[in-house]
This record gives sequence, structure tokens and C-alpha cells, in this order.
Amino acid sequence: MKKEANITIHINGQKIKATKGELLLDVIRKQGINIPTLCHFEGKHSDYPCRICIVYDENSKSYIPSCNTRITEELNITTHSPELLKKRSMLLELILANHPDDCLYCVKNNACELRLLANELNVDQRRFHTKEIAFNTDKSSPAITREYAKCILCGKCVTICNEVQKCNVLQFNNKGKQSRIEPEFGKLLYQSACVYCGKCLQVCPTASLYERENISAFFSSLGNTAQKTISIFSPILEFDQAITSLNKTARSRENHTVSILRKSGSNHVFSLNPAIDLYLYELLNEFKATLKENKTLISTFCPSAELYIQKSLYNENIKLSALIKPIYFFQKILEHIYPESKFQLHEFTTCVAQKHIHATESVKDKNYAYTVRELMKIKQTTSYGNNSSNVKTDEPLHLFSALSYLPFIPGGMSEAIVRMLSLENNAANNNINFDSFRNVENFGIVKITLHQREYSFGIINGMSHIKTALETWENRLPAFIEILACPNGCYYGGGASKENQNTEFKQFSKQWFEIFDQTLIRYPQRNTQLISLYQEIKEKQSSDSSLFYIQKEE
Amino acid sequence: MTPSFGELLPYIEKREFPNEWLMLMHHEKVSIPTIFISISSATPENIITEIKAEINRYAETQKTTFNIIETGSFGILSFEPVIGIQLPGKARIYYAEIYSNEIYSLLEAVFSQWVQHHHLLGQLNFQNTEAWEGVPLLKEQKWFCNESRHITEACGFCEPPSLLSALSWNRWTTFLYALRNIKQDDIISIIRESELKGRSGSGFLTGLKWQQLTKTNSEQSFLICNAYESNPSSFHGRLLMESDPHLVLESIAISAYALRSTKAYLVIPYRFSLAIKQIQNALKQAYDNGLLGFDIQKSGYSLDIHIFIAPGSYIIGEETAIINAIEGKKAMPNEKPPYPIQQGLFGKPTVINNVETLTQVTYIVRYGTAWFKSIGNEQGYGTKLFSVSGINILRGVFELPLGVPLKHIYDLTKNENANVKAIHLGGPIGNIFDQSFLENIIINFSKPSFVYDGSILFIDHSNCIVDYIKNEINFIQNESCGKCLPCREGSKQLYHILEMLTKRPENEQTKETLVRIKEVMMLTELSNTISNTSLCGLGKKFPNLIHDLLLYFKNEVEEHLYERHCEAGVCKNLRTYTIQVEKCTGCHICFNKCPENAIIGVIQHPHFIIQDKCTSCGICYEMCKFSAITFK
Repeated sequence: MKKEANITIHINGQKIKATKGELLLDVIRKQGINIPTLCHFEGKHSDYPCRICIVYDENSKSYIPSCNTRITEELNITTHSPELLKKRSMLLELILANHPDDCLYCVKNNACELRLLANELNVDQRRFHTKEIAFNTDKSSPAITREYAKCILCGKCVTICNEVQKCNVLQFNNKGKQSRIEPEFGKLLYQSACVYCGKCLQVCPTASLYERENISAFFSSLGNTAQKTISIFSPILEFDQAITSLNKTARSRENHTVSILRKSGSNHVFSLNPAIDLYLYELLNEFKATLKENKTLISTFCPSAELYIQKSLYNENIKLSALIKPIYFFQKILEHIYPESKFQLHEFTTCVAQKHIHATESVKDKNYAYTVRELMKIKQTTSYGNNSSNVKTDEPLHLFSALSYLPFIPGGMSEAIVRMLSLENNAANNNINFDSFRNVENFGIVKITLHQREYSFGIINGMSHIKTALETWENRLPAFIEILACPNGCYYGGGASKENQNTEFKQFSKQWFEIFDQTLIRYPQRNTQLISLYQEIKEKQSSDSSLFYIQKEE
Repeated sequence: MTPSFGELLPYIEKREFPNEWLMLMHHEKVSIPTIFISISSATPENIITEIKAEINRYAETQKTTFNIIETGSFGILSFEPVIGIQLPGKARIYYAEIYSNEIYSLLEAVFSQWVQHHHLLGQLNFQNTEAWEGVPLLKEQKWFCNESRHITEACGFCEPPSLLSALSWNRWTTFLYALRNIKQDDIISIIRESELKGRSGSGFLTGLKWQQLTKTNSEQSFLICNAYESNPSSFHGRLLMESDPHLVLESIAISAYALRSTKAYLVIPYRFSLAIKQIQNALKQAYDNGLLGFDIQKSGYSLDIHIFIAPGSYIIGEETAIINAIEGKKAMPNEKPPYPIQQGLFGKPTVINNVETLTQVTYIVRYGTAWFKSIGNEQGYGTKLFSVSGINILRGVFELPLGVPLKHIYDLTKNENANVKAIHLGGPIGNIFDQSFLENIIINFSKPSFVYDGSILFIDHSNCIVDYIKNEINFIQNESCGKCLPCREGSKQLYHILEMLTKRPENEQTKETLVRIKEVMMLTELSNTISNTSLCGLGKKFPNLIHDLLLYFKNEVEEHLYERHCEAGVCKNLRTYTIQVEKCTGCHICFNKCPENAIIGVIQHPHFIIQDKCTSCGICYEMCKFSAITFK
């Protein structure tokens, strides 16, 4: 029996039909009426403590929070009355009373939701004069800064940390006026179980949580003439909504990343793709080696997932991939190409945890990672207009295969391995159903038969499923496990622009087909220029075997 | 000799015990001198030990033996520790506030048949015992409330650590009788018929709540007995648990049986250490004798009672916060709906009742609806425990019928020095009234004199109401869970506005003077916003205090605001200090100590205070050895 319960409710005197169980806020917004909220989370259960979205119900003669009310009975709603407006602005004033008035010097500045809301609700004077702010900032982590003074305790970061990512790092501590959102027992972020996925940075309405900014390091590197400034951008930026305008398809996109980086004054601009080509090439070798050992290989492509496993899970049958990150592949290649000059790498990516990798991994010269938000700030400082004339990356590393776009999508790494394997065995691609790789919702195993041999691939989409997946597969672990910490891949990463959150993921992964079909070089093995370069580097080094692997200290 | 539990079982089911055994258990007939010591959290444990040591010392010197029995408390905390002495063949005689330095002489007096009238409470006469001459009967004492003493009838007489003593007071008999003879749905309809209202404050009909649970048709449901008394001025639930733990457990058992719950939780705050000890001991006895656990007395009904020792926070008393705390989360209230009755503990339907409500259930099941309805009036039937406190007031728990005039409670408890300036009902989420209400308030489940949780605090004229409410709001701003914005930030601002009111601006030249008045003007709007938009009952109700302050004590607020004067002299920063010329000897101490250099004068000549410089810190007042400095 299907229940199509329609309930008629009144909003500002108008009769409106709504389905039972629908959220009141959605119904009101469908009518084109604006209800401000600070803490509402679409589709996720949250505690909704901000109460700014209150509306007045004539039937029960009470004020109800619209973002937490499911429609079960007839309602008679007033959304804007002088009383309501007064109450909403007073609630905002209560927040602002305890908020530092340093908007001009604030990182969020124009992007601050609190500031926009103050404008929306016409708050024009300070009526509460008491401030009790704890001015301390947690800068322990190289990736994330936590500024307690600006926290308005909306709880969005707690929801995303505990319910979406299930890291359980941030939580409400203390009570009453001492309430704070912080890691357990008031630890610093660096001491906690945080893996710097950066999802909380995207939801924070104020500048309480933001990335450790490296912009000054970028500009000081430009000023240093003794070394080359080399900007490398992650392929996912070609699709990021803040920089790129997608014209119908991914093929006909207009990417401004290269031009922004050129205008900023970088000596060389490269895309990370060639390094990923080499990474995949090397990964295939590693995969074959672990197959012989009958062990499970877990990819360490995603730094957050690697940290998560290192911090909280350990299993003897699991072998973490010993490959270094693609950006260090790039470093090795560049060291080969420019043997005499010094250079500094600046990586532009959607990944926040990459900042942590750059800060902690022992390399000769300090490199830096930047998020899209920082790139936009660099653009603001250096670019004028959207004039992008030179969009090609620098030679000789301008050629790459289509597979190098794949590791950023859940299931992509496994798909790349299968495609590479099938090329080696000259098997026709048509027999393999690649859709099964992309249709993994949360986690799942994909089994592929190639030349009478069965390969199983475990795909985990989102950090929240790592623990459950490994527990479910405990008895029969797949040969290869790939994990992406941010749900639905790096396109929605912690450092990506906010606009990405509203777009459909599946659309993006389908667009990859168009790229694959229209690219000349499809496979890393066919990228002859790169492979020959790779052979040259290997020949040059005496102890070739450990070149691209993490050096273990003995 | 005392029979074992197994031998008593047939009598329990008949609900009638042999008279001889009852006399033995109630210590009506004693063979050696017996001393009763009341144990309650009003008396620290070391004092009890000292008293016992003194009694033993007396026994050694007199070469006699005593039987020392630990009982619960009558409920009047001002009387603690209460000592009862019973000589063979004589009536039992009770004394109040007997400490270790007085017990020796008291025993000497009693054993020489001489009645000491100091601290005398009264005597308890039984059959075949000889009464003391000139000693009033305990049960005729005004404070004993004998006519309306029902659920606390065993408090002070029953021995909390003993199961047999509890049985002699009819504990567990009602449960076992109901288990055999009354159907579960019948109990619910009895409670529904009796119109029992929840005793924790909101006055929701208990029977209605239980009926809603049966309608959910869920296989599993939970019962939570809320004994978390977070209101600092209420302590009657604690008394029940300390003095009559078996009644509390029996009540949970009956209610859980009626609701078909196989698991019940008793939530006790961690700071009630004595109550936890007594309840845990009673629970062990109940399990050992098959009164709880699997297949109770072969009836087919199984029940587990878990004691949840709750961490300290005011908000745990809220029902959804209790559920969160038991589930292991932070104790924060959730938005309602869904109500716990629909989706409660671990997602299952859950009934949460106050400990006092459940004990009333036992008495309704035992004596019937007609008996229950004969007490009280149509707004609320039955008796209610009142926790009364105040200066020059008899502090303690009184069981009185609902609909009792407030004046009656005041007359019952006041002493000759008592006076009333304000009456605070219900703690931080209650109301505060001025003295004109004393004459005409009847306490019941109706406005304006809502019963709330039964705590009554009489505030006398030595208190400043603005300062009092400031302290209450300070309590709220520390004890609010910190989840929803209006309550957390609003209470913070309310506290600071009231704090501004109780002191003088530091600098008259700045805008601080104007801000002080402006913010006080916003009190009404701010408290309205908090009460309308808050998530849980705490935020919705605590602004009532501000409303009452502005409604009933407007003069006092205006006096603070405009005249900068506090009549009671409590607000130290509003005092104006003056030096009386005739008393000042010119010792120059105040001159040296004044941090603001507001005192001028030469040694051996009278000094003066410059009022413009004075910040009313009060240091000179404390320093002056000749009481030459006075304040207004």
C-alpha cells in the first residue's frame, strides 16, 4: 500500500499542498520565500542549534524551527512578521556580541556567512556590549587552523566529522558558557585522530576553521631569483567550478588554471598528469609483486586515507603501497630535466591533507600545497580579467595519457589497473564492464576475469566506510583496495570550491569517457616520451629499484 | 526469631504478616536498650561514627549493652541527626540535633528516667509500653504531617539496609500481589482513572503517557525512573532513595510490569553517594531473593533494573538528555517531536517518570483509585512531597495533599524570627513571587502557583532580589548544555545585564552609564526571545525569573538602576560609605589602604571620603577598628 498523504498547510495565508514527512524549510523555500539559517545541513541529521530559522505557527501558537520540523499535521505558518524579524535579528546579535569585530583582517572576509546574514537581517548596531572570548588559535597542524574566537558553535563541523566522515575528532566539550567545539579532552588537532580531510573547512560559516595558508610562501618564492618557481596543478582543477567554466561537456571546458598560474609569475606550469602516468605504471608493477605474495595492496594515493589507516587500523595481511606520492615523482623527473638549477614545487590541488604531507615528509627542499580557495586569492592578487591566452602546460612534460585523470574518481584506480592489465594481455576492452567500477555507492568488491585469472578490487568511497568495509572483507580481502577519503572523490575534496558541492557527481565521471575516447594517448605504457624519460632516470641511478618507493630508515 | 524470606513468602502473597513478627521488626518490644540513629546525607558519615563511638563509650562505663539500629530520616533535615532511645517496656523517645558531645549526657539522663526537654522531638508509644510523662507524641507534632504522610510513612522508621524491615512496611508485597492477581492493562487503566499527574513539574497525566506506550505496539520498551534532582533546592527524591530504597525499587518494578518493559533504568546523580549505596544494596537483596531478575517468583515476568549513575550537569534532568546520557552521548536535549514515548532510548519507545510519581503508583495500586482521589482536589489528586528551605525556616521534606495553601506550609515551618520578602517555587525554571502572594496562593497544578517539582524557598528581607536572580542566572549560564544559541548566549548576556545593575559604572564620563540603562530596557525583549526560541524546557522557562523580577519587584530594579541603592545592602558595589566624624580617631589606616585614594585626612583628625572617587570596594569598612565607617 502506498501512502500519498497530502497535507494542506498555510504559508503566509496561502494554501500549499505538501507531502507528509517533508521538511518545512524545503516547502517554504520552494515557494520562493527566504528563511535564513546558519546551521542547517541538507539531507543530514544535525542538532540544529542556531534557531534563526524559526517561524510562527498560528495553530499551536508557538515558534517552531522550520529546519527541523517534518510536516505531520496542518500548520498555519507566518514567515515574516515584525516580531519574527526582531527575534531573528536578536539571535544574530547574540552571536555577534561574542564575535571579534575584525572582519577587515579576517581570512573569510567576503565569504563569511555571518557577515552576509547580518546584512540580510539589517543588524546595524551593537546592542549587547559583553564579550567573553577565548582568543586562542590552534595552529598545531600544518593543514588546518582552528580559531576558537570565531567559532559560533553551529555544530556543522561536528556533524560532518562524526556523521559524514565518521572520524569523531571534533565534538562539543564542556557546558554552558564554557562550551567549545574541539577534539576530545581539549587536545590540539595535531595530537588528535584528525586526518585533515578538510571537509569541515567547507561547511564552517565563519573563519573558525580554515586551511593553513601558504600564499606568502608562494610570493616569496617568486621573489627568490636563485631558484625556479614551478607550479603544478592537479588535473581535478580542470573541472573545478571556481576556475573552470564547463561548457556543456568536459571536453569543451575552459580552464583558467594555467593562465592564472602564468600570470602570477611562475617560471614553469605543469599539470600533475605525467607524474600520475608514471605512478600508475609503477603501481602496476607493485600490484603484480603483491599478487605473488598473496597479500592485499592498499593504495596510498589519498593521503587522508593513508593517515587514517596508519593511525587507527593495522592488519598483517594488508600491505600499504610503498610508492611515494605523484608530486615526488614529478620532483624526480624535474631533477633529471633540470639537473643544475634549484627549484621549488608549488602544488595546487583540492586536497587539504596534501599540506600535511608536504610539511612532514622528509625531502630536500620544502614544497608547498595550496587549495582552490588559495588559488582564487592568488588570482585576485595577480590576474585582471579572464583573458586566458596560453592554456598549454610547459614542454617537455605536456604529454600524458587519459588514464591519468582516473585516480581522482572512486573506482578509478582499479579501473586504470584493469585497463593497463588488459593492454598488456592484448585483451579487448569490450568484454569488461567498467560501469561496475563507477557504480560503487559506499564500498564494494568488483571482480574481473582476465585470461582465466580472477582479480578482485575493493573500492571504498568515503572515509566513513573504511572500518566497516575492512571488517566485512576480513576473511576474503581483495587483491587491491583503493580508498578515497572524501565521499565521491577529489572533485568534492576538502580544498575544492563550494560550487562543486551542488553539482552531480555522476555527470562528472561520465564526462571522463569523452576524454578517454578523444585522447591520442590512452595508456601510460603508450606514453613513449615519458617512458623513455623514466628509463633514462632509472639507468642513471645505481640503486634503481627503490627510486620511486619510500626509503625505509634502517 | 526472625523468619527467613522463604518462610515469609506465603504471608507476602496474602499481604498480611503475623502480628508478633511485625512487632519484632518494628522494634515495638525490645529486650535490651535500643538506640535508633537516623542516617541521611544531611549528616556526614564521620559524625555518625563519632556518635556511635560515644554510645559505645557510655555502654562500657555503664557495663551495659545496646542495640544500635540505623534508620532512615523523617525528612526534616534541620533536625538531623535524630536519635531515638527506647528502654525495655518504655515508649521510644526522639531527640533532634544530637551530636557526639551531647549524646553521653543525654543517655545518662534517659537511663535515669529523666526527660531532657532540650532538643526533644516527641515520643512514640506502642501497645504494652509505658509512656513518658510530659512528652508530646511524635505523631501529633505539627511538622510530622501525620494525616497526609503516605509515601514517606516508613521514612525514619524503616531500616534501609534490611529487606525484612522493608517487608514489614509492606514493600514488595504490592508488586508480588499485582504480579499474580492484576493484569498489566488493568494497572494502566487504574492509573489513568486515578488522574495521577507527573510530579516532576509539567503535570502530564501519567496514565495517558502509559496508554500512549501501549498504542505503539513495540516489542521492546524501556522504563526510566528519573531520580536526577538537579534543582539545588529540591531533595525529596533523595530522601526516598536514602530512607526507603525498597519502595523505589518496588515502584519501578510495578510500573515496568504494567508497561511490559523488561528493562528499567534508575538514574541517580553521582553526588547522591548515600542514596546510591542504599539503592545498590537493596537491589542486590532484591535480586538475591528472586524479587527481580529472570522469571520473578515463577510468574513468567522478567525484569532487570539498571542503576545509571549520571554525571553532574543540571540538564540531565531533561528527559531526552537522560536518554542521550544513558546511550553514552553528551547529555544534551533533543528536539521534540519525536517524543521519547515514540522514539526514546536506543530508538525504542521509552517512558520516563519521576521517582515520586512511580512511588505514588504503588500506593494507588495498593489502596485503589477511590482512596487516591479522596486526597487533593480536581486539579490534582494525591499528596506531594515539598522540599522547603529558607532562613529561619524548618528545612526538610513535608508530605502534604495537593491544593494546600502556601500559608499553611509557611506556618508549619517558620520560627519566631521568620519573615518573607519573596517566595521562589520550582527552582531555576520556576517562578518567584512577592510576599503578597503568601496569603492567597494554593499550590496545585494550575497557574499562577504551579507546583513544579515541589521545591519551595522562602526568601527573607536580608536578601536582595536582583542579586538573588543574578545568582540564579549565573547558575543557568554555567549549567545550560550549550547547545542552542538563545539559552547559551542569552543567559550570558542576561547575567551581565544584571551584574551591571548591581554595580556602579566605573567611569561616569564614558558611554557605560547609558549602556547600563539601555541594556536594562532590553531585558523584556531578550527574555521573550529566549523563551520563545529555545529548544528545551530549560531555555523556555528560565526567563520567567526575569519576567517576575520586572513584574513583582519593579521598585527594587528601579532603585538599583536610577538611585544606585540596594536596600538590603547585599550589592556591595552600590553601597555609599561615610565616615562618622565623632567616631573617627584619625588612625589613618583607611587612608593607607584605600586603592583609589578616595580618603583624605590628617593623622589624629577625622577623615573624609570623596564620593566621586569611591568605587565602593568596602576595604575601608573592613579595616576600620572603631566602626566609624558606615554604609547606606
